[in-house]
Amino acid sequence: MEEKDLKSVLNHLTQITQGKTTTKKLVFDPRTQELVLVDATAPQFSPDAVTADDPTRDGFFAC
Amino acid sequence: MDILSRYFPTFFLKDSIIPGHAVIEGTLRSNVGNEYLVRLHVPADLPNSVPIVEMVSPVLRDRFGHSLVDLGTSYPMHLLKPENGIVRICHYSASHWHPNITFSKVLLKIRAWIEAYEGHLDSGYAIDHYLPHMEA
Repeated sequence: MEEKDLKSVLNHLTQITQGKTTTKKLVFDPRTQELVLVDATAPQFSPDAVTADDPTRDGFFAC
Repeated sequence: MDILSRYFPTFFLKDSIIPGHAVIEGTLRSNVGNEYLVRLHVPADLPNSVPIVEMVSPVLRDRFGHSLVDLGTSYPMHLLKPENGIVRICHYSASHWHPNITFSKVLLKIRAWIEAYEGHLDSGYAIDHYLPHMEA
């Protein structure tokens, strides 16, 4: 089941930031420009969707 | 520009096409529908250095009403020192940059930053509560 409400997306980002494993993955859907949470084991959400988890896990420059 | 236009169709090269002078500008929309005008400066030595990313509009304020520009360089909000009154996002460090990082990947990070910014407005947590810092 997909989720895209702010609270769910932020909970997911917080888990990544805290180094926790998650059962969801965050993808960017270019059709809607939305960040969508989908089951990590689910088939591809959309042929165009790309992961937003990887660039998030890269982290941001500690300026 | 092909990958960029596939994922971020509102982004276009503006004015000059000369690296170092060229900018790519477009709109990113958060999940709740707020729109942010984002400007990406194409580095002179493309693709060897980090592109500057600016949040052109709207004027961004923190949960407490302070302009993000006034925060200056901010570790918890992932901000570089602003230039000309415009917020700059601290996305990649030079030491973590490599030439095969695409503008699309940079914009994906900015898209996540926007969601975290709206989370900050809602909760008061700094943006680094939601988005980690790079490993040193």
